[in-house]
Amino acid sequence: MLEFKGVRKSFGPLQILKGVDVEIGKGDVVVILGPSGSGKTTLLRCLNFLERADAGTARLGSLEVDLNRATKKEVHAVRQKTAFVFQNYNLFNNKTALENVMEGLITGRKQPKETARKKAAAALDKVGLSDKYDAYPVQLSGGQQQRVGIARALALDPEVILFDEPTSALDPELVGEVLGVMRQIAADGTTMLVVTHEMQFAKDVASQVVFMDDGVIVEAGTPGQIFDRPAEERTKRFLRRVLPDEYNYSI
Amino acid sequence: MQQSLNIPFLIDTFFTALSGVPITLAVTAVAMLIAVPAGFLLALSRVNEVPVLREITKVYVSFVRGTPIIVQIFITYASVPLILTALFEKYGIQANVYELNPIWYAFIVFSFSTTAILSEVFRSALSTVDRGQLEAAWSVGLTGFQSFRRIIIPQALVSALPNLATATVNLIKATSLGYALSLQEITLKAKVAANAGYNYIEAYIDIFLVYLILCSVVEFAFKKYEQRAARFRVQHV
Ligand SMILES: Nc1ncnc2c1ncn2[C@@H]1O[C@H](COP(=O)(O)OP(=O)(O)OP(=O)(O)O)[C@@H](O)[C@H]1O
Ligand SMILES: [Mg+2]
Repeated sequence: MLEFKGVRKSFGPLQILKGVDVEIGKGDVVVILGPSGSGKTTLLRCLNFLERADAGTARLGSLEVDLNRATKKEVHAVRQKTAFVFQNYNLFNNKTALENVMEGLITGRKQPKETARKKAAAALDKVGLSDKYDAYPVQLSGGQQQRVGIARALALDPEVILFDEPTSALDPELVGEVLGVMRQIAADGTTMLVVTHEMQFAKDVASQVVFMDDGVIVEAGTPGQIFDRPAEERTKRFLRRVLPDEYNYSI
Repeated sequence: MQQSLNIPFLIDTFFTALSGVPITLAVTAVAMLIAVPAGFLLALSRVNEVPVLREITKVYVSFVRGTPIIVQIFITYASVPLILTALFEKYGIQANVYELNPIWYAFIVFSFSTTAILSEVFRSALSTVDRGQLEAAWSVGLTGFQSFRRIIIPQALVSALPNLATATVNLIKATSLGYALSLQEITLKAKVAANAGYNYIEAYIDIFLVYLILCSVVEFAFKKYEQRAARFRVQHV
């Protein structure tokens, strides 16, 4: 089980996260929704120490760390148990698809090259890129690049994969292939924490939906609770805005 | 009096000028061998905002960029012997600094100025690799050092190649100022040959040709290397 508690973060005088708690069971898919600027990206970045939180704790299995005061070693330990899928893919441009996936295994996890190669190939096969092992990122479409990004995370066999709007930089016609891969790995039991604006994905795949606004969690529950019976006015307003067709009649 | 070109002299002197190429190349090679790693370290100190080193680098770079190389040569030529004499006296070393081969001065001056120029070249090259890749490297468990070595530096070196080629060619051309040090390089050798019969036009044509050939070859070699090294940036295989 994974648990993040009391995560706070300010940029200058601006308080972006005002004490956020998230709990994720093994194999769960937790989807975070919320308007732009509500702090979703900042939350994920704090959990992976790409941003240093002002306060908060993380518990990953037996590992417990202070998000503010974690030592270099603890940061490394957390990163060994997590993986990140970025909005802009952030593939290593000087490496092929296969090398992109192998890098974390060989250099990050000290695994032998052959083992790494097998795992990387398996991960690329899983995201439907078995014919693109030797392609460099510039030779891939956005959707293919993001699938490499997912394979790179998947191959590490982390306790949780953090997704930050994995489809929002993609052309509309490429969104489907990436969501398809995410549905599939969710079905395989991958633990995922996903920030997205894809409501259908949240409805279909999430075990828990978290609605965030202005640095706090307003409401959390099953997709049924959040989408069909939201309790908070702020949640209702947000859903009316992003899903006008379904919510207009209930005004 | 207008005179036609002295063709035999032109040809002879071409080879005289050519015999200065090894010295020119030696100075260029030594300067690059020192300036590439040194310039890279200084660039890293600026990119990673290493407190004191970063300030020193800034001053050093603006000094080199703000003064002509010929002035740097004069300063070195005037000050290094004084420093060396003082050092030799202090440690009782029996050596006459004024017998020092001028090539040592050339090594010092050109390494010094090229390091500053390359530190700027590498600094802008490092900034071409977006921060996202660095974060991705951290997120898959690489240390800061590993991320730089395996992801950032290889890409930065490739984007530095065109500027590196320019810097090398500029360096080759700048070594012609070595004549002020009586360095036996291309320009000096040809000019000395010309002095005897006042065949300056012929000598200048030879000098012109030798530099042109030399610089073209170096530029071509860099181009070829860049094509290979930058494979990962080519859209279609
Ligand atoms: N490095 C930073 N320095 C200063 N302010 C920042 C920084 N990163 C984020 N912010 C601010 O923090 C706030 C929350 O940003 P964040 O990216 O977490 O929002 P978000 O919920 O992910 O929004 P979006 O849906 O647009 O991605 C924004 O107002 C943003 O301007
Ligand atoms: Mg965001």
